[in-house]
Amino acid sequence: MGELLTSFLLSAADTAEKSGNVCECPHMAKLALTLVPLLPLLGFVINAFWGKKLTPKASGTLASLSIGAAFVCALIVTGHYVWYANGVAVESYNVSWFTSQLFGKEFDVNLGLRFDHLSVVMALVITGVGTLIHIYSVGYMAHDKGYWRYFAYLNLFCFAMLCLALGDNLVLLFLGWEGVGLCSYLLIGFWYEDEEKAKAGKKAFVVNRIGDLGFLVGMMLLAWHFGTLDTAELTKSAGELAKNTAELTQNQWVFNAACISLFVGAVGKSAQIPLYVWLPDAMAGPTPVSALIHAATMVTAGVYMVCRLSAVYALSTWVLPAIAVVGAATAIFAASIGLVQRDIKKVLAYSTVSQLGYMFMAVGLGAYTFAVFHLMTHAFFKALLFLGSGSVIHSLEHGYGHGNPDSQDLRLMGGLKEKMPVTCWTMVIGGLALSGVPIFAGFFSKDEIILSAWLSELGVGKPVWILGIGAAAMTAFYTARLIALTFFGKFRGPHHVWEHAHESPRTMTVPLVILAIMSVVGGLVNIPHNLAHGADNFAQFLSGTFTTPSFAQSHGEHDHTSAEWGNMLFSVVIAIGMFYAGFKYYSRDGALSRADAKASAGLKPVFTTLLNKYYVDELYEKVIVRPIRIGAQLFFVFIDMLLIDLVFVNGSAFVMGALSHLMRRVQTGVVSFYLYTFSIGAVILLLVLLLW
Amino acid sequence: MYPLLETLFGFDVFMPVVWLFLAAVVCVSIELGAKDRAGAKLPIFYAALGGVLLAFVSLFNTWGGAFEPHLILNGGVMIDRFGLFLCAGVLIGTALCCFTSLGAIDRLRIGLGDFLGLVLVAASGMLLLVTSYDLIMIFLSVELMSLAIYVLAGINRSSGRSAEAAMKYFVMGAFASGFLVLGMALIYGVTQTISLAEIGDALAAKDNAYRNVAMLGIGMVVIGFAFKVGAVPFHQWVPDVYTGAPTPVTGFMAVAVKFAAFGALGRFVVEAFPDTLGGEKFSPFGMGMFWAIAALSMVIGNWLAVTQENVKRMLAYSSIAHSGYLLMGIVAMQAYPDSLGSSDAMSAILFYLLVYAFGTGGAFALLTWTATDSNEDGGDLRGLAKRSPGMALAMSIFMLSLAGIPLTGGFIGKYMLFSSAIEAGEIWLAVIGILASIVGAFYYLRVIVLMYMKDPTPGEAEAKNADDWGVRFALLTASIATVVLGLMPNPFVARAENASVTISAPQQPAPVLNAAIPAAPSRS
Amino acid sequence: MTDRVLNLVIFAGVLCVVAGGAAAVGSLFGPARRGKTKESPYECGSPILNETRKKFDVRFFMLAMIFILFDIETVLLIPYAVQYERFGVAGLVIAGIFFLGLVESLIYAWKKGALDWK
Repeated sequence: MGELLTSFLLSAADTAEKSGNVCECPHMAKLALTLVPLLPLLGFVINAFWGKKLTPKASGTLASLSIGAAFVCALIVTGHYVWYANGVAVESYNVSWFTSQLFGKEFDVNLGLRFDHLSVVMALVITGVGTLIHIYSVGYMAHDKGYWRYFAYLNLFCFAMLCLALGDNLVLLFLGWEGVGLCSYLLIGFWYEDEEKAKAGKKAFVVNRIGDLGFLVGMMLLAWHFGTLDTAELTKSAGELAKNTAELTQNQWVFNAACISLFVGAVGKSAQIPLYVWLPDAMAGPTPVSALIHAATMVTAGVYMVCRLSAVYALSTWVLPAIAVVGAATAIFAASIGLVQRDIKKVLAYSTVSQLGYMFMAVGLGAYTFAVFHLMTHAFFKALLFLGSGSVIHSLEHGYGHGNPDSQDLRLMGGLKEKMPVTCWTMVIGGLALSGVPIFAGFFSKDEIILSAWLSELGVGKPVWILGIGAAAMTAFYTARLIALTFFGKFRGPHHVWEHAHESPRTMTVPLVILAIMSVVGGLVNIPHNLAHGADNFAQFLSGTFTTPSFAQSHGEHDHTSAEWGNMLFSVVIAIGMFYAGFKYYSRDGALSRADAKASAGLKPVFTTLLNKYYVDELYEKVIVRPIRIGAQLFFVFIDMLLIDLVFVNGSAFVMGALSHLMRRVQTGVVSFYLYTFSIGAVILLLVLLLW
Repeated sequence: MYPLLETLFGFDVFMPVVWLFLAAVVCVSIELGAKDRAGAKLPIFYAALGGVLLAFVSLFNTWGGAFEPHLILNGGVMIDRFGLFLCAGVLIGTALCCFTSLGAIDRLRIGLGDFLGLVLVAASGMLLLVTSYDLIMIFLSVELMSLAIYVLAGINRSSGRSAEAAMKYFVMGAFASGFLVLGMALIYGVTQTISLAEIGDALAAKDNAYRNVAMLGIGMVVIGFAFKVGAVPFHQWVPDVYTGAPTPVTGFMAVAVKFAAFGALGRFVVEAFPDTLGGEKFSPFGMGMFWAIAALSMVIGNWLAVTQENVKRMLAYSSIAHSGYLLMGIVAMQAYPDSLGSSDAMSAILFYLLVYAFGTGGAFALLTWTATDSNEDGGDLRGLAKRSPGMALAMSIFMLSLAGIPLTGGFIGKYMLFSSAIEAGEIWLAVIGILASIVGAFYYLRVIVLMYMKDPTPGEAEAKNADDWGVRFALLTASIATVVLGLMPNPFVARAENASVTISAPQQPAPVLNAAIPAAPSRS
Repeated sequence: MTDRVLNLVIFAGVLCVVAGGAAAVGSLFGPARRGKTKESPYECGSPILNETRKKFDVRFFMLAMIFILFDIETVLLIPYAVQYERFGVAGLVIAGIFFLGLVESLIYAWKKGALDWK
């Protein structure tokens, strides 16, 4: 180890001296990078095989240690990358996975990792927030009998997510993509005894398959056109192609098709319209899972993927504006549903969908840096909010009993500030960050996105801006509602629950506090330059990574100081105003019943529509799920049930007892039916053969 | 003087077949001579395994040496790497069957010797089938293989379903053989030859007046093979027979028969189909037919598999779907504009067969392991992860591989097949295949969910097969192989490519080597 | 070619006409008296003793099948016997293996009691 360290230091010094682009990555950095995903995998293996024999605490500690060690490794690599690597990506040891001919080209796929600017953010967020959530889970899952399964899945998820974020080619990215999907599926259905929850898992799975299909098609198109799936090479060839206008126009459809297909994949994974339906249902999983997978990391994979392929997206024409519109529409659509939801986790789930909409809005406007910035701050404050709500639920469950849905019902909360002060104040910080109140992290990132919309030269810029502002207003309102209903006013649930409610153990509150701190200071990495001569540090750091589409390139040329100030003041006023209004309204006693009464008076149609989430689930059920099921049923009834099941499977039960005369006759009948279809098929095929 | 050693390990009398046959004879003899059945089990098992190993040794001996493809037995059997690769696959299936039947035989109330004897005879038929180079040899070996398997399917005499499966398979198989032999008769009638290569040449000549009749014959032969691989619309026997037959036999059918039938079909398509462009390119002849069968098999196989509750039956439908994927490879082979690409498609088929063999063979081995007297299908996998995590892990690997999830062999295989189809220009077929395999992922993963996320059925006894080391060994090997094929596919892909190059290189008449057989004395 | 096909068609036509004609003439002009005796299966003129579809011992089948199998397999040895000089040692080995199979199956049938008759 000592030897390795020396060689690391020496070679680090070496690299620092070199100024060329050749990166002689020191082994230490390479090793650390390789270890980042492998450590959680190791944790998974140990927990999966021997977890049953460990105590819950040991199992949880092991899992937390493995991801914590990965965080340390990620820090080491980051240190090396930022200080020594001169902007040359760190590459891990890589193994040639398979080679094949594809589209007439030799096609190498490696198992290798690459660490660049974008990876710094992703790796640190995944391992950092991941570690906190693991620690939190030790407390949260202490009493669950499936603790070792839980920690094994959680570690496996981190492994897959790190593959997704660090993989140097799209195949590895897709592997991670599927892996996180699988873990999410397993964790949503973690409490599978509950039919509802198992169903939610299934729904997430099916919806994600649709997105995956898009991803696969997009990947195939890229492979076909570029002959490589290595992200760096893709970026390079796309950059060269951008200069070649003739070829670009000629193959325009390929880029548009590839980009939109990949975006379909992102829509599925990142829960955008129309494939967002799985995410609210995914709240059936344990709350830390919601925080890690369905708020901080996995759902942002779509945003990450589009950012990673920004060079390819720069080649498309109408795809980016379309993404902006989808993002903005999702932002306001989900935020409006969030206004009336009664389940604390459902509110946060719709809020996540809405915030992801903001990220896609930024991506679509070409403001990749702000998308990533918002991704990061969102990871902090949304994980905080989820963990806080988990803490509340955990505390109420002592009274209600485990798994009782009442423990998540906002109508039965209130006044918990007294019982759980740490949870309360950290969640208030998270709420302020989410609402975009100045100083807190969300303010900086969201404000930049809305500003980009205002400044955008795209035709959709202004409409997107309006939707964004509207969504911001709603966000502030429902956040305030959530916090007011949970912590302020009077407790509305049964008395014994109030008696049992208490602050959560240290393992749960410490991560909350850390995340609260991050939610405050997280935004300060990128103080916009109109404020206190802020230097846009984060944006500067990331700027070289992305290929800005042509329509967004002229930003720097004009002086937008007045627009910046105007926008900022406007959104601050809206955020604070709406937050204050929501808080005032809902922290008074009986606010909910008054709201319901009002709804039943004038606003009933709107209210019920919102409460029923615009009836989208019902629509999908009628238009998509049912026809498929009917088709399968038809197939099933005619071919399978009638001919095979009815006659054979059920029939053979009789045969087992005694080969009855009757059954033998039925059997002959059916074999002749088989032969009949055989012959018909043969005749048709022979005709096909002779005619074609 | 012909060296005896060369005869015993060389190929001029096609030794692997002989080894298997001798092993079969030994197995049956031990069974006959044994006083008690239980005591004879191990010697019989070792005899069978020894036969398979010797056959393997003979195979590798030939593969390793520098050799030219050549014909033996008066042009009846072709020795080339293509055939050798497929032989190796058949032998893998046979070995898996030997291991899995070791414990399962007690439930069948029959001696292991009789059972393995039949398996080995069927396997020797398969070895001949994948190497046969003329119509007579093809027919004989198909029948040698099939007759043994008809009996194997019905070998559980106490089970009505097993008898039903055997009867059904026999009747339908006879019907399909009718097609096969009628097609051969038509081909022979027009081309006046039984050698595959000569048939191709004769049909390539455009002036043959009865060309269409021969085409009809070719179509009928293809239908005969399509029945054997269980492709739609000749698939109805598959679910019934796979479910009814004893599980080790089902595994054997799913693995070895598929290898053999696809090998023969591939060779038939390459050699007997009329070449165009002077052998530079494969004939697109009959592509419409293959296209239709492939698409139907993928769609219907996957679709019906989704609704199955019984895992064994689900695997039967899944085997139909996999036949569809493989047939897509044949379409790709025909659609390629050059023979190099076609050889790529062929190597994709070979690799996929290998992956499929371990995946499906392993899955059926697991069902053998979980089977109980009350539930012969071994369908109750609920909560298997709690009962025996190792087994559940192995089964998960097989399911992931069959579903084509990365890091397993199935992914590489699917990737190769689909990419060759796309590259050959068969985009729509590939799209159908990808859609179908997405449906497929659903039911495979459902098995994993069943094992990991459900509680064991109360009263389900702890598997009494726990000490069945045969099945355990089979599962271990198959799961390791599946992962290795996924992580380090390159050596195997290279072998598959090597195997398919020999078959798809521009045709030259292969020399007939009958060193041991001097020319007939001229009669005067 | 066409001549031969034409000849074939004419021949088939004449055949159909003659055969069909004879049958038609017979049924048209012949006396038709139905009776029990007439409709019973032909038994060489003597009265029927019992049902023609009789159950009989499965051992008959067994023996018949074994006989047919061995018969055919043995026939396969004849071509080799005629030409055995050509095939040398290898041929002898192959024929030996084949014969071994035959012997083995005979022993098998014997041991399993297929040849017992009691």
